[in-house]
Amino acid sequence: MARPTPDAGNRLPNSVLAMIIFVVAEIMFFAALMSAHTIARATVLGGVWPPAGQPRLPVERTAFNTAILLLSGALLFVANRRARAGYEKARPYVAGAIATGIAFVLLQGVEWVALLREGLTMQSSTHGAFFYLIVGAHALHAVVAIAVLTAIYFPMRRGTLAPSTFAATQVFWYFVVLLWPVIYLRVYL
Amino acid sequence: MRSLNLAKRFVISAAAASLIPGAAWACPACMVGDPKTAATYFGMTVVMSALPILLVCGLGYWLWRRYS
Repeated sequence: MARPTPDAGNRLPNSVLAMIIFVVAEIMFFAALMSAHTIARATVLGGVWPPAGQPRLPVERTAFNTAILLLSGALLFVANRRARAGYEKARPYVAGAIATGIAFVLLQGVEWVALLREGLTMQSSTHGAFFYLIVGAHALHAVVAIAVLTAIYFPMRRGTLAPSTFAATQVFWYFVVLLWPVIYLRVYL
Repeated sequence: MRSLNLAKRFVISAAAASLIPGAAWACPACMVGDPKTAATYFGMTVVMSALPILLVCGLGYWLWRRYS
């Protein structure tokens, strides 16, 4: 009697499982940063945050930027749905996700330049140090994710992209996208 | 025999050492001063303790549901 074999079509690819485990570790990394930020914020002398003499963070502009990043995640989600009918139909949405991701990073860069000109630096206060550390760590992840999305776009165009690679890339991009609103709520508001 | 004696000595020393302080906090800065600060420390301790357990259990549950 033959032993039952697992359904190969339903098996989770190793690359996706590895990416999920990596994302779990990354969640803990950002949780530690935000935990330290929350404690620093609660224990600041005088209870005033941002500390006196430090610029306010651009809440409204960053809300717009947050919407751009969420749109990027939505585009990749649609790309995944369209990929079931072939990569040809998914490609424009992946390109859109890359473009909106680049727009997010560029707008963040513009924001950083403005804040540096206003006097918010890594050394100016605990506020500045935490801001650049947390937002910078996220930006670094966004840049890497955009590079990976761009790297998969070309094999997708040739039709040689493995579905598991596409799925693992999506997991990482969704992590970058969904982490940002949490950072926005904790750091900016 | 010698290792058993060492183990006994360690247990007795640890028990004796535990009787020395009247009260001690794991973090001496967490429970003094502003109550808001104490609440923040407590909240973050809960979050940082529970989050890895929730993540690993959530992943395990998702995999179990997927394959069962």
